Amino acid sequence: MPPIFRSRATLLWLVLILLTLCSVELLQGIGGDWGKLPYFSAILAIAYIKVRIVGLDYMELRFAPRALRIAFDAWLGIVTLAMIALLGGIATPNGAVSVPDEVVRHVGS
Amino acid sequence: MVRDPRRGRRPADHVPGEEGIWVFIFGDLVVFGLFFVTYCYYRSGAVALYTASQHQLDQMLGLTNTILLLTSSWFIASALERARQGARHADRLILGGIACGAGFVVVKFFEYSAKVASGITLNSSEFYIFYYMYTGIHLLHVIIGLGVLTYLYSIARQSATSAGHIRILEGGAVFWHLVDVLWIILFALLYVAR
Repeated sequence: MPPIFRSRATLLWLVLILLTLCSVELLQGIGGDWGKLPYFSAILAIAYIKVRIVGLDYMELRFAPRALRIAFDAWLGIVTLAMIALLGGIATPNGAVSVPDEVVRHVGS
Repeated sequence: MVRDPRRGRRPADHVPGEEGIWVFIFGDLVVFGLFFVTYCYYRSGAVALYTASQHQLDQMLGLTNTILLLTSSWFIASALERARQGARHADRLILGGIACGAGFVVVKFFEYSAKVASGITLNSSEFYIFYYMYTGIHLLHVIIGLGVLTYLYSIARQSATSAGHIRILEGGAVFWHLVDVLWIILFALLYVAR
């Protein structure tokens, strides 16, 4: 097998493709019964991992100065959490912070 | 066995490409970050409408484009690796990246055409304003990126690759991976999170 197919970039490509297929095939199959918070969290967690792989390895932030890496991670973390909060129903458009039903059920049980 | 030939081959704290490119990259990340959060904000106010519109999207086309861009990123990352090692065929790998990127544009063209043919335009629903605007701005990035990759190809074709050339390749590659990063989140938001 040529060396190019044994590189880290190739292994990560495979991981990226598998994660993509998981988010579409697996998650949409089994996630239908989940509450919206775990469901959207799972979808965005997969996107988070994919972006981090592309950022750290393909964009080579792994070898970049700390400040650059931290800035990228901070951007990704903040945007992901904000998206999960809004889609998962924790933060609502009128600005109120609500506790989703599934969390109430979980705490109550 | 996974090896990283780059490890130890470069000084620690290496900024890929020209430093100026990172100002542009982070500017773009902040703008798109606001786009993503704005979309989620409006979606949470009209979940039923957004979900119904999202189910009209062809998820297979979105998936195809995701695979094309991820593969394109692999081509460009591998090309840079080879150019750095002074190995041959970095230019061919860049050509592979360009082909995948061009494939993305073609798929997008068919996707837009099918939508417009079935009467779905920018004004069809609030969701479609976001859909056409965000994917349109992203498509512009892809087209600019293809121009950048074509330039990288012309550099990689030259027999001797200097340190200056590597820097240009790094900068162009970083921009192309940014296009991939933005699409990963757009795909999750528009096509999957429904």
